Amino acid sequence: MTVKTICQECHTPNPPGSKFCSNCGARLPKSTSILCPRCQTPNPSSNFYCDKCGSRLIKEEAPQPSETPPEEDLPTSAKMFSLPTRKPGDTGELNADNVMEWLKSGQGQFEGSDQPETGKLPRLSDLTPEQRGKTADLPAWLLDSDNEEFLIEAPEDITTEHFLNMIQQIDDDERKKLSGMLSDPAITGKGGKLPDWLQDFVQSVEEEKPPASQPKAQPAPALPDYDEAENGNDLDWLTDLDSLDTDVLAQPVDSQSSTPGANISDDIPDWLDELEPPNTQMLSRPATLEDEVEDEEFLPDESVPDWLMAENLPNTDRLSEPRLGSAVGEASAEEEEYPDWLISPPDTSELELPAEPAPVDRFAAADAASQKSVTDWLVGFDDEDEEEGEEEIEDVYDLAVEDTAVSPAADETVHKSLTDWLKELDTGEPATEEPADNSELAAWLDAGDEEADTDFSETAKKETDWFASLESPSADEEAYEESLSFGQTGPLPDWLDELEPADEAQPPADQTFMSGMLDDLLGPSEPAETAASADTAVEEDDTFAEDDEFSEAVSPLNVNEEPDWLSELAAFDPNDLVTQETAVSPPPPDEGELFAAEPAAPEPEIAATAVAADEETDEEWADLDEILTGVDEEEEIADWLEQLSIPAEIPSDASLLQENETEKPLISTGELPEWIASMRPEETGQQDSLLPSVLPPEKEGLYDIADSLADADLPDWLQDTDVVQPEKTAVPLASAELPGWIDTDSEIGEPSSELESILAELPPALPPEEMLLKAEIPEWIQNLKPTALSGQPAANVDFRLETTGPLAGMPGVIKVEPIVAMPRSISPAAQFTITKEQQQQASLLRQLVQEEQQPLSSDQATTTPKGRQGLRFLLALLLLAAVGLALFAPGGLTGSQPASVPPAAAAMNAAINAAAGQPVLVAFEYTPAMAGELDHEARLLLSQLQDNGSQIITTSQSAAGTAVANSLTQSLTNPPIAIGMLAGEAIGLRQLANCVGDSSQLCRTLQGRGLDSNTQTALQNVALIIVLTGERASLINWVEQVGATAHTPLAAGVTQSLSPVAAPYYGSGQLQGYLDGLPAVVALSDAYGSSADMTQAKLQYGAQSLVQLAAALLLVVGALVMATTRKKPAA
Amino acid sequence: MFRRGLPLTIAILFGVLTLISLLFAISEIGNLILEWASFLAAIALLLGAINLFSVHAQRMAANRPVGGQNLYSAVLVISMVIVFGLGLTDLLDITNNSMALVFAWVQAPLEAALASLLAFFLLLSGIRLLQRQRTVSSILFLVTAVLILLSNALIVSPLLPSGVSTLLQQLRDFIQNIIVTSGVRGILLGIALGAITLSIRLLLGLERPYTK
Repeated sequence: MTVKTICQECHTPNPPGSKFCSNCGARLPKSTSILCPRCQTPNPSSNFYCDKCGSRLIKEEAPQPSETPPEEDLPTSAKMFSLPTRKPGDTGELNADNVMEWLKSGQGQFEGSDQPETGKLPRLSDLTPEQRGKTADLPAWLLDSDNEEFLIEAPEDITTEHFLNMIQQIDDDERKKLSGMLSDPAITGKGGKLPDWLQDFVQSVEEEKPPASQPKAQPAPALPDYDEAENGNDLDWLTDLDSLDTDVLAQPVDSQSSTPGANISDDIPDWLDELEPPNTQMLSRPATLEDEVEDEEFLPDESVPDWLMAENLPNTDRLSEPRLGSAVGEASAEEEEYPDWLISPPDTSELELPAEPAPVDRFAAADAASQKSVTDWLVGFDDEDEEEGEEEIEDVYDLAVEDTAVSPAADETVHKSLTDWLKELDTGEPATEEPADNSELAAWLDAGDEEADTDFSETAKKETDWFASLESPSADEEAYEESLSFGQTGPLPDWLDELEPADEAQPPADQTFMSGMLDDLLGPSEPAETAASADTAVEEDDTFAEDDEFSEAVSPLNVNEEPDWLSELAAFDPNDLVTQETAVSPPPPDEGELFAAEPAAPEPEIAATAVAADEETDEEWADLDEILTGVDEEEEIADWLEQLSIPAEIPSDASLLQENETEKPLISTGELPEWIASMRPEETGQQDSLLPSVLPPEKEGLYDIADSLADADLPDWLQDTDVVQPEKTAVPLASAELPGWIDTDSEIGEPSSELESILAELPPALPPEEMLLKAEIPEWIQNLKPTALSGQPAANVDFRLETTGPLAGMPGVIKVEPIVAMPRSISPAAQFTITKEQQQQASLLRQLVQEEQQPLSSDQATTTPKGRQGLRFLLALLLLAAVGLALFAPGGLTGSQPASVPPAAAAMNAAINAAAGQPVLVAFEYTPAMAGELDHEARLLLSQLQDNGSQIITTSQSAAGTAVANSLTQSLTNPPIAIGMLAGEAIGLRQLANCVGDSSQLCRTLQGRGLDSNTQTALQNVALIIVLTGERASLINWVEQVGATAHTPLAAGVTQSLSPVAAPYYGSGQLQGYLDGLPAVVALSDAYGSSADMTQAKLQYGAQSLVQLAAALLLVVGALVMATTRKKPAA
Repeated sequence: MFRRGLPLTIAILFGVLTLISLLFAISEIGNLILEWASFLAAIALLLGAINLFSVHAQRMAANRPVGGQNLYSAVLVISMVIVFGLGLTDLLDITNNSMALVFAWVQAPLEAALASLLAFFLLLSGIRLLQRQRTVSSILFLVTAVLILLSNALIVSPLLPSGVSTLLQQLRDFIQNIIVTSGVRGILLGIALGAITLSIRLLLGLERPYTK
């Protein structure tokens, strides 16, 4: 399709290449046509590609084709492309000055670095302000990489990068320590393995190959010393527990504060710093609540740690596991969303706390369900394998008070680990349950690993010892410190003393969970059999034994008056928790898991917390006692508190119970580490979670935690494990493997314990396979996974340095696909659908055009066939013979006399005779081409007019006619009057007609020429006008312009071929007569005689007759011959 | 607007004036217009001659190989110059009737030679007619042509009997006076009607041959 040129004046479309508008005549701009460099076709200026051949157009100002580089220098692909090509490596018009140096060279010349780090992009913090360029739009935290302040406020969108950054903000030493810790089989345990994201980190640390994307590692705070010999591993961070500053932990958590305490800010890892310091008010709540208890609400919503809030916990399938039983108690309608054990503090006033209840007894009497529920949230503190750890983390965010079914293997190890210390508290014997599947990280926190190293048992022993030491309010600080140290346990706080032992029937899984929780807090613990030994100051709570007791909110001290949560704790049987592999409810935030995510970070934090715990005074424990005593029957004690109670009887088959013969009292409130004390529910509304600030700062109900966190994006260290926000899908209880201590017989809606009620509200847990939606990660994304996380060497990644171009020096530059780099070659076929036949035609046309420009040589001249050549020769010969015969044989065919005179000739003779003695205007309107026939007529007429004595006036409308007239009138005796040439054809004749005739006026001028009087008079007196012409138009003009206006007779002398044109005018009377060729002339001259010599005319007439006869014969013969001969098809 | 409206207005105006002068026999207006037109026609003839001279002079001066178009242009330019010169000499009475000699010795024979070739081309095309197109019209054409030629050649020839000659003459008169005349008259009427239509369109501005 050709685009027409639009005129700017009248907006008329004009063909392309037009110079003037066809409508208004305006000159079209020169730029309307652009010559195609390929086919030289003019195209409109608006075209980018030629309409004919499709090549890219070049402006008229473009250099001539001869100026372009020769085609031989261009690559083959460029030959077909009209645009100038760029050689490889040529940056063209790229302004190199605007490119930063580090981008040019690909070498990051960082400040302070001696050698350029090739292949590495410079960090923003390493660039100078000039190199940085515009950084106004960059956040401050990105620019100010030197900021040592740790971010404690969790971003709204928790991403892997956030936690990875926190992980990376440690120095190499800590990383090594952590790697060693993580690599320690004693920690990981047999059969366990770290999560992939953690394994990658470990591997990367082992390889001493820090990730490229890691920023500068923040100097980790110095870890407090710990007894390696005692611990036997590299869990440095647990040693910091000795130096924990409880005051720091007691400080209200400030989201903006970077550290919970200035003293320990340097020693606490970042992720721990982000944790809001525990609020000791929670521990002292019982004392305050005793005075201020107005309602059954034990803990205001805002005071309950978020991670303990079921609402704030992520809503996972695990959360939907059926509650495992013992809810805290009957929850009021208002606090239905909050677990009872958090809302309604136990009525400690009526509690008859044993003076020194055996930890084992406490927990032995604990309700199995409550144990389970308690351990549920504590399960999260225990490390598990990768899959289990994910589940645990989800459990962490949900209060484990709901009776939700959990996967059997999910919290097994946690339960085991938890119950270990619980068992220790109860029976003082370590738990001996073997965890099913433990990750490497979880294993060391799994107190239930039977096959764990003996170190675990020792540590668990110590842990249980510590916990057992919490029994006695008067436990010395040293014992407490020891308990807080790695592997040691201190006296149980008072609030733990009040915990009734778990029931023997209760599954030991809770114990594992509890022990695991403490292991996380305190350090790697011994296997479950050691951690949950009776030496731990786990108070056996009779309430854990049965769900009913727990649901009655029986305090651990008073069966009838104790709150449910305490009653559950009393019925809690660590052994049961250890042995039974049942699904557990989602535990509170798994500190252990979170600790594992930032291995180095927790160490100082825990150390700080340990330090803080050491400094915890007895007052806190006392406050806890007051809280516990002040709990009414209706008030519900937190499940976790209940579960912390030492079971009254630790089942003998409890594998998670650590072998600890000594029964250590519960740790008093004052002796309880700050970080544990902070876990107690409070009413001040401060977040006591020691977990990384992954939870929203607002303290909502337990259920709020689950919901909010459910909607939150999982952190990156969880994303690797394909943790997906599970949907709240109910899983029937029957489908889940519930621990034994979970009372499944209880009807839903009537939870026997607060924990069960909470768990019941949670969505049922789905199997991990169903929970986790496997995302189809493309291969190219997986390849982008950092090696620290993937653990795979980037062997398939091309880190070759780019050597050319603006990206020179940069690794991993993706090669440009040839199809992208190749210039576009525009061909006619790309734009139009051209068939093969059309292409052949186009090529033929092109060939013909090229051949046309070249003159054909004589050799190339086409030769006519011989037959045709003979025919032509014969024809010429006949015609010549006819003419020669006529010339040499005068009167050959004509005979004597011609035929009769035609009537028109006779009439003309009569008209001439009528105009005798009067002026006659003779117009010579013929050229020399017709002179052979008309000259005879002219001579005849002129001679006749002269004989009649008429004045002859000659004129003509052609220049040749005047010459003919002069030549013919020279022989006349009376010279004619020559008017001259009449220009303008019909217009001139019109002017002449005004001067001719009787009615006309005297014309003094004729077409600007002055006429003399004779001429004027003669023209006015013209009696006859004779027109001698051989052209139809001239005859018509004379007849129409002069004959019709001049009212003067008109006669004509025409050729024989024009006689049909003159005959109608003669028939209509517009012509008086006419002579039609030599026959009429000869006939007239013979009839009327003439003074002119007509011999020549007669000879010519004879020759003409012969030629005509020959022509007629040739036509007949030739036609007959040709008709019988078929025409040959064209080649 | 100016470029398109002005020529149209002038054409219509003078056409109407000429029509009025002819209808109402106002010769002064008509004569005046005719004089102006004659003057413009002469000027156009002069411009045409100058343009012809310039075009061929440029072609002659162009860098083209001899034997191409520049040779013909050279002959034309030289001929123009010579004839113009002879006319001046005749005007100045330097020479006498030199232009008539050029006409008689150059132009007339050349035109006659070209015209004589016409007979050969027509005769040859007539012979091939049936080979290319075997239709009724072609046969009729050939028959008519043969009759006319024979009649013209043998009417006065003593070779034919008088009766045949008379018959041929009557046949020729019939063809020319009736068939040919009627056909030509129809053509003439068509020409006249076309001329009238064109004139009306010119007066109404529907036809603008003077604009591109």
